[in-house]
Amino acid sequence: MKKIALSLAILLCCSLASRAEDLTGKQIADIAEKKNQSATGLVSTGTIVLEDLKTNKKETRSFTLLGLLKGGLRNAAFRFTDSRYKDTTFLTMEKNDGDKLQYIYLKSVGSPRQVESSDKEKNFVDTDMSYEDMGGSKTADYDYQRLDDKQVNNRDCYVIEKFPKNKSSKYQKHLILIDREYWVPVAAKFYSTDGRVVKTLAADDVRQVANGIYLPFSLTVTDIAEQHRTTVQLKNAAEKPLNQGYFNKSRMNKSWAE
Amino acid sequence: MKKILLAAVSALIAGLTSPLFPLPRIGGEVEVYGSAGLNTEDISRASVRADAELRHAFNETEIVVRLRAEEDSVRINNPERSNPYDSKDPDDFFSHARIYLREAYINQDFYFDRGISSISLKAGKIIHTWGSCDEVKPVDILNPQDLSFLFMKPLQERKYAMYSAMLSIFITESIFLEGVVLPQFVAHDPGSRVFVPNMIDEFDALSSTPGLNTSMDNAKYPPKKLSDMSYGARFGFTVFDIDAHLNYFWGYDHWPVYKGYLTVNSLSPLDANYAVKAHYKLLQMFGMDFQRAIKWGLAVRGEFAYFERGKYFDLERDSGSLTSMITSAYGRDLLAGGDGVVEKDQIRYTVGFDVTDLFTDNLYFNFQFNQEIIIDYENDIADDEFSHLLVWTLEYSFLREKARVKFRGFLFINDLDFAGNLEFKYNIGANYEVAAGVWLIEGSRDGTYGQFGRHDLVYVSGKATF
Repeated sequence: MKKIALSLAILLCCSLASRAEDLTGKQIADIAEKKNQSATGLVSTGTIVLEDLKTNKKETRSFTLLGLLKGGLRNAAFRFTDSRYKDTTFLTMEKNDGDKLQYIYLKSVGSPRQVESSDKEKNFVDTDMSYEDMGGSKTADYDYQRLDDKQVNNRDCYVIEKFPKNKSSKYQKHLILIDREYWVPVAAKFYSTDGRVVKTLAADDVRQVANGIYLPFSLTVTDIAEQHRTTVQLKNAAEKPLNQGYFNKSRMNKSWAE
Repeated sequence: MKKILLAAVSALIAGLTSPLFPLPRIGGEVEVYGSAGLNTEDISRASVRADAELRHAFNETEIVVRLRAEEDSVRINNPERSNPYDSKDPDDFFSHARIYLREAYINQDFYFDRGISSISLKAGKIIHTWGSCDEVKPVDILNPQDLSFLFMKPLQERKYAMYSAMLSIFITESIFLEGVVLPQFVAHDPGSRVFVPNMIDEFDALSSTPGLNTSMDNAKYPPKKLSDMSYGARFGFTVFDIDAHLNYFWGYDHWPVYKGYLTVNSLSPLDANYAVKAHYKLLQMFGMDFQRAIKWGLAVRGEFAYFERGKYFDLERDSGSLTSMITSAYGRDLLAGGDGVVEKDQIRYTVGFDVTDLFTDNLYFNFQFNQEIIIDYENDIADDEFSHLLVWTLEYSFLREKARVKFRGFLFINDLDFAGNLEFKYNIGANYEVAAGVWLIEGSRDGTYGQFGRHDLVYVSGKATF
């Protein structure tokens, strides 16, 4: 019986391995997008450090990020917890067609404002991360190509290139390395329309925060052209039951019991 | 005993600082402001405001307390009941300073696994926000406002919290029914001796007329009875990505209606008594608002309100002299035993759009058109049957949002009254910002904005967040 079970396990591993080899770039992107989500709830707190590389001036802000997979759709709520942006809250709710409804809550306005996010390449507030980097990406917006796998820091990674379908995109392509085990994008290069690398992304310190859920505790985005860097450093990240109400636009002004 | 006490204190400190019992989040803002008038009769103004905020949430319970301390060199904290632009004690330095609960409430959510999604129960002093538009919001009428800076501060900043209890029933997370009761009435607060409306000035001028006794009588506030409390309801839903609300409000208008009373001695026309008195009237509003983000960073928003009762309009008057006043429609109505005002239904609506990147990155533009329509209009009414207002904000941010230039404008089309604000703001670090700007107000002496035309000003301010 043991032998049969062992044989089955080996067979399963082999078939998985061969399936992994057969995955297309689009399939890898699809899986990576759906992975590391929680139907229970993910709570992360941390800091965003903005750094002007020309003057070495730094500015630090704290934030809380909530994530919830609800009916297979991603919901995310992001809130600044200090600085002049304190209590500014962003809510993203994925719709069945993959598009997203986005809201911003500003204390000075007092009610949620639906915002349009078609320009996903636009920087999120004054950081170097785009709305896309913040989870606003949609795989259908790109064409994909898989390249040969690579090892980065002794970790096996998928390598894919994605090409924007939107002709007015400011990027020609993105080169992305995704950890094969964790399904976390660990590095990316953004190429301008003239083929130069203008932005890089590096994720580090990937930790398991729940069963099958891995998150990078350090994420650095560098805008080479602007000589500016944004580092997101997680202090805590955990899977916790979250109130569905936190992803309700009518409750965006409420405190979170994180 | 000492040991037990020490152990208890240590346990308490350990407990409070442990992750299981996170301490309430305390933060706030300090803002300093100084302005100087550009016209000869104007005065300088200095104010300091400090807000402290305590917010805490545990499980489904949320507690919010916002405390405000402020001092404003031209503020009136002790207004006469008859004339809110006069202070009972103008020489009292401390009448310019005050500390009050800006907002304080407890909110309790209840979530359900089946049937409806959740229920929220909120009670305390609450600042409500109804509607989707900015600045000119016909349905956002639940809270009174601090008008000591007129409309120069943002609407949300001007609002005073009201004692209220609110029940929201979320059928789904995007469909809800909400009811609110406000067992308290508070009038809009003129709050300063600067922005005095033309009507008050004209009344003061008339008081020097020989033989005419003028008086401003004490305002008539709504009865403080539970049966006279205000209440409202909202039904919110999202359809085709349009967020919409149907709104209903029954309660007292925070704006006063100034009724006039004139008695003339039939034997001596030069012996007359003229009085005005502020009344606060019961109104009923049926409203609707919507918002929808479309594409290319563009979003449209709108609000519509129909006031079925409670909106009163002055009759045409000329208060240049007693004779001209008496011969005007207003005076004739007073002489006939009327009070110089007439009640009419009114429609108010605002529609507009905002775009995040107009023509170029980081150029934000917000444009709104507001119209007010008096139903069953009579020619003797001082206001126009149709009033049109344009409101816009054009803001360009640069240096990675560290610097902003903003141009806000209000153009009252009927008589081309204009109020405009040009401001430059710079963020120093993450928590501190400084700003400098100018407010220019132009228009006729009787105009909505023009009556404050002598109060053009320049200002500087600094705000720190902690």
